Amino acid sequence: MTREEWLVIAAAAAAFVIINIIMWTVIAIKEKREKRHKAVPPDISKALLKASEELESLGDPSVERVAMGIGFEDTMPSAPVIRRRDDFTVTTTIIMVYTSETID
Amino acid sequence: MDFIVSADSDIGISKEINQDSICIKTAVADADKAALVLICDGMGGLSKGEIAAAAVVRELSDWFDNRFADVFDSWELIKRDILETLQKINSKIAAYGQKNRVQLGTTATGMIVVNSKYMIFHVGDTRVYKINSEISRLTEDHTFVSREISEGRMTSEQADSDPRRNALTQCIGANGEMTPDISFGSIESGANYLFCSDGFRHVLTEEEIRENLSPRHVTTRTAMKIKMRSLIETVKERGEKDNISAAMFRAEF
Repeated sequence: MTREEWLVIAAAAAAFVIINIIMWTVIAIKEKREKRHKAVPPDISKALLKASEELESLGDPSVERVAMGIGFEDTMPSAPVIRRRDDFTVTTTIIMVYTSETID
Repeated sequence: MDFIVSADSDIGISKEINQDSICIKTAVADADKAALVLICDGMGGLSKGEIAAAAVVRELSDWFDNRFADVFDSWELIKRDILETLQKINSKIAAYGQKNRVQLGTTATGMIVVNSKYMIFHVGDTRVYKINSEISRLTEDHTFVSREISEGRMTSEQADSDPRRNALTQCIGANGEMTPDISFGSIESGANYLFCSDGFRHVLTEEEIRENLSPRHVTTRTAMKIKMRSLIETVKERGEKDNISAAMFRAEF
């Protein structure tokens, strides 16, 4: 092989390496961002734990209590996803009350 | 996916005020659908029961309109929110009762639906039924007789005629303590879900309810309204003295 041919091969190899470095760096950054987005902030975790403990401490064993997410284990994420649905629109409202007196 | 809902209520033949309250809401969020169906029966033996029932309806209606969107994607958070809201209104009603020297309370039985999944929250003796080719109850009454039956000290027939049949073991507001039942499930497409106060079901058999509200001939809002009103009139003719209320929910997907 001539010198020029070796130079071409080296340049192609270098380009291949550089492209791979860039591509895998971008993928790693995206995965990091997704993990951060799914993570529950510490204060929400505490609130959930408190709600869970409060339920546990309530008596009456004859009452069936369903622990978080039973029946939905195949679809529920492992940590609650907090994302406000800005597209939420109420489409039907039926209210039947028979007093105008309120409790404040 | 379509949600079909309706409700009806009647003061009945002998009460001076209707102490039942009903709330039905539906919403969309992009391609997702959600609903809240809630029925409350204010305590007839206690004064101002209609205020307690209305308070629960208003509070949960407000939750649906203003806070549900924040927790829409998480059943854990929906459950937490509902329990906190019920505890909050329980404390408010109890405080109102203490301040005004009255004892007031209400039952509350409701269902939150998100697409094909539901969560039922329940306190008292208002009920949820699922009606397809059969009828099945999705809630256990918090009543003295229900507890006696489950512990084998009373039969259903004895319970029907027992003077304590309306005595609740818990409700929202009356004594400050309250533990809602929470259950989860999947909505059956094409089944009808009935929410009713005890006044609606006292003098009806489950077979009559199933026959009249079966999805074989009740599939539209109009049909729901007509059939519920027909059953309410039957109940009044049979001499039921309580307020009479019912709500229906149906999903088609």
